[in-house]
Amino acid sequence: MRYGGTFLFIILESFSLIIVVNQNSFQHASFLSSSNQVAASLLNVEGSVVSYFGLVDTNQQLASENAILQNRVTQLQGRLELLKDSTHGELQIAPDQAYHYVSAKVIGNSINRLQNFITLNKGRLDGIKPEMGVVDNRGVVGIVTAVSDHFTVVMSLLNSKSQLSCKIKRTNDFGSLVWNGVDTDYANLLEVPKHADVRVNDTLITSGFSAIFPEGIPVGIVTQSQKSSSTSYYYIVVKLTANFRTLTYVNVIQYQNLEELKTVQKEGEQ
Amino acid sequence: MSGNLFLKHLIRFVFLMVLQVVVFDNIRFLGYINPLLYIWFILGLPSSINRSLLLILAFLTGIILDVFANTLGMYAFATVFVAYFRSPLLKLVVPRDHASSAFEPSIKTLGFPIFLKYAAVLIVLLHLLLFSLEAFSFVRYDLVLVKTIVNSSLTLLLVLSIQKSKA
Repeated sequence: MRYGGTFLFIILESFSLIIVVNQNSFQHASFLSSSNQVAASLLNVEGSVVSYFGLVDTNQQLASENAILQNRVTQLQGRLELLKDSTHGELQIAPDQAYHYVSAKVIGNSINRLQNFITLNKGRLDGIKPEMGVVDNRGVVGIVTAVSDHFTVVMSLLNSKSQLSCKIKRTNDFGSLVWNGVDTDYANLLEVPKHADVRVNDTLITSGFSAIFPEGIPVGIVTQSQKSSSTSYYYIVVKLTANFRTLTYVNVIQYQNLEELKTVQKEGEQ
Repeated sequence: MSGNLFLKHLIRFVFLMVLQVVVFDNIRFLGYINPLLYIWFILGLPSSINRSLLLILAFLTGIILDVFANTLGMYAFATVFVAYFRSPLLKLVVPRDHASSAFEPSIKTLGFPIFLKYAAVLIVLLHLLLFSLEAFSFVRYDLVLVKTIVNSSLTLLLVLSIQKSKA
């Protein structure tokens, strides 16, 4: 009996440690994450209470987004008319419908850890799958890791395991964005070679390499750019455009041809 | 545990878990404030509790928090660890004559200095373990230390002030 406790202790600790160490393989297990039906339903109740306190901000955000979209509609309509005129009405522009957006509400969002995750109130039944991109109206938010029928867990950009392929809009120089674990507004852009030209206030956008995100979604603004003397890369600090403290509504990006792209890429690698 | 005692700890458990998930795991201030007040549930269980039961309760507590916080086993590991070292520590800090009968560790039953010693050791241990596990593949010891010091103090302060205000 004296050793009964110790034996149980070792079993429970080994079990916990196995989950911790094999995080990557358990990340898609939705019963162990907050996309778990019970956990998510409770978070949902919490989210709906909390969201009342942010209604003013949310309304303003939606209104400004609406305005921007309306502007784009008129702009594009103008361009369409122009094109129609110049081609005598015969032109048929096939719209690029490769990407489809699903709007979802944030019901859980941590920013006080090294590995932060966001929980959404939409899931598999809404067409969401792991490895889809998530954006808010300002920029990239994260990538889907686990999905249950009605809920989704997203790995936030504020996660020490997150890595995002980005490029500088002005020069098309590529790099990968990682979070430094400390400040919720800033991240670092790695692997940009010294011969590139990176300046403060340059805009950082998604590269479109992985098809998780279409090309050109804003990610951040360069606030610091130094050529380090010890490596052959730049030291770049980026202010993230998405505001993780006040996330309320986000869009999940579905790339219609993802499966096809993956198979082709696999075949190409062989 | 008698019915009354069971109900008291059950209510405390539910209250602390809701508070942990809704408030303390979601503080959006400074980015590293995350006190772990829920551990008061484990600290306050009767000294006579069956050791295996204590470990299982600790594991369940941890796993539930893991599910809500997406921390995958980290809360479970840290909580079970603290629960295991609870009774050796109690034997160490509590005088013999007191330890002969069952008691629920609190300021009221142990007195302020002894309870402070007991709670401080376990609370610092818990924070250090959890924040180190979180930083597993990410070497930022300075950050782990800062988080441990700041949040342990916060948790300890909360536990002490709740007990003081009840007394």
